[in-house]
Amino acid sequence: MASRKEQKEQARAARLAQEQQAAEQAQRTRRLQIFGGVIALAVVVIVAAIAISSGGSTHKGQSAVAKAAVAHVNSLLAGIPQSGNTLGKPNAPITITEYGDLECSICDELATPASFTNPESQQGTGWEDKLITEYVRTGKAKLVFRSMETASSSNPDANAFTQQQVAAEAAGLQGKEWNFIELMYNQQGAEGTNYVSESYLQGLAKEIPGLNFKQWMADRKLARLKNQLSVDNAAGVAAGQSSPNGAGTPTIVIKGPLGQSAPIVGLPNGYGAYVSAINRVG
Amino acid sequence: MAAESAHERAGLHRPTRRTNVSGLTRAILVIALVGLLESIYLTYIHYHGISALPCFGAHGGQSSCALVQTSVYSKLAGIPVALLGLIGYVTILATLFIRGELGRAAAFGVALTGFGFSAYLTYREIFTLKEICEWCVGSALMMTALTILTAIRYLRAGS
Repeated sequence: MASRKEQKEQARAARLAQEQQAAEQAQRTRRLQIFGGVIALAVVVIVAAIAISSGGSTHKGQSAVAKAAVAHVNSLLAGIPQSGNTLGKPNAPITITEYGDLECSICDELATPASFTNPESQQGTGWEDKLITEYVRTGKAKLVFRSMETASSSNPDANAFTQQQVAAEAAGLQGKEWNFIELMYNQQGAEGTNYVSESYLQGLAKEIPGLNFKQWMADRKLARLKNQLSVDNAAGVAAGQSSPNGAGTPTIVIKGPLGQSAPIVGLPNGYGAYVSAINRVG
Repeated sequence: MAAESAHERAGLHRPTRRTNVSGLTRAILVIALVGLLESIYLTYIHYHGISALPCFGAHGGQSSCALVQTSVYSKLAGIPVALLGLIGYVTILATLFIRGELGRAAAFGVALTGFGFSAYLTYREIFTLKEICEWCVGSALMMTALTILTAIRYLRAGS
């Protein structure tokens, strides 16, 4: 039989053990609460990072130049049918073919509005916009783009021409080639620099409304798009050779029911040169 | 019974626990150092515009690693993700020098954040870019290991 003193000691020991157990339990709970808090905080940071990353180069992160280009191109092409490399109604009587290099600063001058000045300090003529508005939108002509390498050959990145032109063609498989072309012309970098990075090309693709980005990425691997470049290039060189200026970009060939115009290589003296050619063949 | 109490009083159980924790810490240290070296390399590559990353995949003459690392997902708010990884690994290493619960919780938090974002980037590689960058997958695996190890280290420390 335990003495009264022993009983007291046992009771005290039991109380201490209970207190220790309670303290340990409280500590475990606190640790788990901190663990949960850390997980919650990490999830918030991850979700925020994903939200920023998924935005890519959409409007929030766009520069003023990109915003202006997107607004301009969207309004220029809105409602005009596109198929592959063709802008406009397929049965339009006149075909205006542009042989172009998306890095070419003169093509850029032809394609961009007067409000745009390219890195070579050349102001846009707005002539291609005018052709689109006056002839393509009205169904009188269709505009066809074909690739021809000129300025890209001075890009330190030897793959740039293939990458950018195929990127445009891949957009064409979704009826968005002209969006890509116009967006690149309106956000061109300086000739001879390697600004045509993967990020740059993907950024342009992300600016195109309704483009299926995943599909576009997959289509860029199609061998036939790359093969088309050499076919286009040979046709462009052949077309330009008959010109007094020799082959070059942009080369504009206008074909209609009455025949085909002489190629217009480079920039003519004025927009009227295109109008005269259209009138001659149409 | 009395012998066991004396054993415990002498703290003879403690060295076993300490060995486990320091073993985990050593593993975390080694993995974080390897991750740090890789992220230093990738950050260097990024800022020097070197596209010839040794990589298995190819995409139109371009290395698939270069394609992934110059894609729109290679930056977060203008900061290269390779640099963010570098900061992450440095932070994990720094937390190893903070004693107590705070350091262990911080290590787990940073590793978990790195793991979550790496998982997202791996998803983008596979399903959006359809290209695999072995360097990025390597870093994602290291972050996964660090998350598991730092979680065990945190939960086990007070048990």
